[in-house]
Amino acid sequence: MQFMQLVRKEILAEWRNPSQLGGLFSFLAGVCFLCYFFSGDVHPAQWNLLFWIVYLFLCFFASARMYEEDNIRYRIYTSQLVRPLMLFSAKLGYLWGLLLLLSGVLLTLLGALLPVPGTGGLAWLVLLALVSAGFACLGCFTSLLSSYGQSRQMLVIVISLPLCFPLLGSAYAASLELLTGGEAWLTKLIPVLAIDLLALAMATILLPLSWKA
Amino acid sequence: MFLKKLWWKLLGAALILIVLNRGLLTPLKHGIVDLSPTRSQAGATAIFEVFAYNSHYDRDPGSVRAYLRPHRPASPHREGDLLLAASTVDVRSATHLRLKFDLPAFLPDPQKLAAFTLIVDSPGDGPAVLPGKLIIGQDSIQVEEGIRAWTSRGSPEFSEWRKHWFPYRNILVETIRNTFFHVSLWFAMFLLLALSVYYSFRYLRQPLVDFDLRAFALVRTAMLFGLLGCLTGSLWARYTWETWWTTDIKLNMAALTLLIYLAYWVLRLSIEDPDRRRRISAAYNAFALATVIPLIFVLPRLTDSLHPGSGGNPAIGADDMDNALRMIFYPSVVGFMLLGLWMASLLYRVDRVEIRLDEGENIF
Repeated sequence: MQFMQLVRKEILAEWRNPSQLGGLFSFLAGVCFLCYFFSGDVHPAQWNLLFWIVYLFLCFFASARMYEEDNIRYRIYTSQLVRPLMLFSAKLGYLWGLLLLLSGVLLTLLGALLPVPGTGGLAWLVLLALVSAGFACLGCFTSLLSSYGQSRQMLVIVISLPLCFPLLGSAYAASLELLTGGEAWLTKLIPVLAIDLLALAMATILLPLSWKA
Repeated sequence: MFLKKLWWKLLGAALILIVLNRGLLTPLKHGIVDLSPTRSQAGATAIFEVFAYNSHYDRDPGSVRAYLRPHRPASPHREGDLLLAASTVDVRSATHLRLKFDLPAFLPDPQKLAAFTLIVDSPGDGPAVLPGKLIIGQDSIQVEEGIRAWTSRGSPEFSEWRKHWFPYRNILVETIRNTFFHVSLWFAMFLLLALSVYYSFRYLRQPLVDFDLRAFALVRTAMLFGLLGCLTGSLWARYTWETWWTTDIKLNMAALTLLIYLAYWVLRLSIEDPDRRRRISAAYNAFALATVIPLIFVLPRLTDSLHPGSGGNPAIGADDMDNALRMIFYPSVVGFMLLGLWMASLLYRVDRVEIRLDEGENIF
């Protein structure tokens, strides 16, 4: 119940400040158009690379805002009302949904502007759901850590970029398998799932320890 | 009492000195660098020029012998028997031979072309092998006739290896010594990172400044070792793969590991409040190691790599590494680990003194 209320709070906060979400969608549309304008006919491997690079930037922009409003005074107040882990779970759930939405739009738009076979279907949905879960976890955790530092936005990118690579690499391999019509895409999802679980477990263990001041 | 605290440092320094001495000064066993020509025809009299490394053929020219053997015999149980001795061995210099073989009309192989291994045996140097470089063709195939012609009359006795010399490997040659530095530095780096995570966890459970200082000192030393591992790897790649850097997955994942810990450093610098800095960087450090594990140990195994242990390349398992190398490799791993711990302990002590000076304490 509390979880749903906190997710609702995130959605309401987003709704009351639509310029940020609008900015994300504008960026997405603009980059897709640029890819279409400059690329012409693309090979599935190039399409795959473009997709994941744009996705990575979307992740950074989306996750950098997660603890933006959380200045120290507000954090002390919040932590008295809800458990930090619950707040983190709500932010994680919201970011997961947001990333899933953004990646779905990206897939549709990039697939329409630069058509390549194999972009769609349940397999892509499963892949995007798993990858978004992992990125949401990494993004939320690094956003929380960098919210304590100076120049937060840049810090989120600096500390999360190298951490994202294992997940990005596994996702790239799995989606390339889908695009080239390979049969082993399900096997290649196993590392994605493993990294998701590892990131989630580490965040769950470390969050209560890092929260205390 | 004094030695009780010092023994591991002395052991580390002694091991490093032994590794530097034996690892750099032990010679390589003799090896065959090149063979010319590399193609011949069954039934012909073939003359081959052979160039060797670290050989002393001119010391006892009459005792140098050479043999040809099928690289992949048709029937494996006959491998030891199928051997053709050179009819003439002409020693041109310490490292140059001219060999004459009277090749039988048929090969012990069901293919028209078959690969053969050259073995050169010299009493002073021991045997040297050039596997599969020579290709011999045949016009018609009669495997049984071939086996009869290639079966040696009595098995030859090869000279004794120089057991403590390092093996000669084509492409690697003298750079094989880098195993003691490049690989050991990475192993030591992982130990230091694991220990730093241990101290980070201890700090998160019990926030004593000492734990954080130890973790940070260990990370800095691990980063130095990682950087040296990258540099020695790059140098090795230049000599063996002819490039300073490649798209090899293990290489790039190792570079990413360094980036992760560079980000750790940036995070520490960006938080002003010391308590918060320690807590947040400890959490990041623990999280980072969880990411490094798939980066180094999982992802490279899912794809081909030029590195040992991936893509069918040998690693350091029981059958992959020469015993002479092992004698130096294991001490070098332990030596670099102890050296790393020593360096980290010095960094930790410097940091601790700085904190005490900042607090206005008279440390003298």
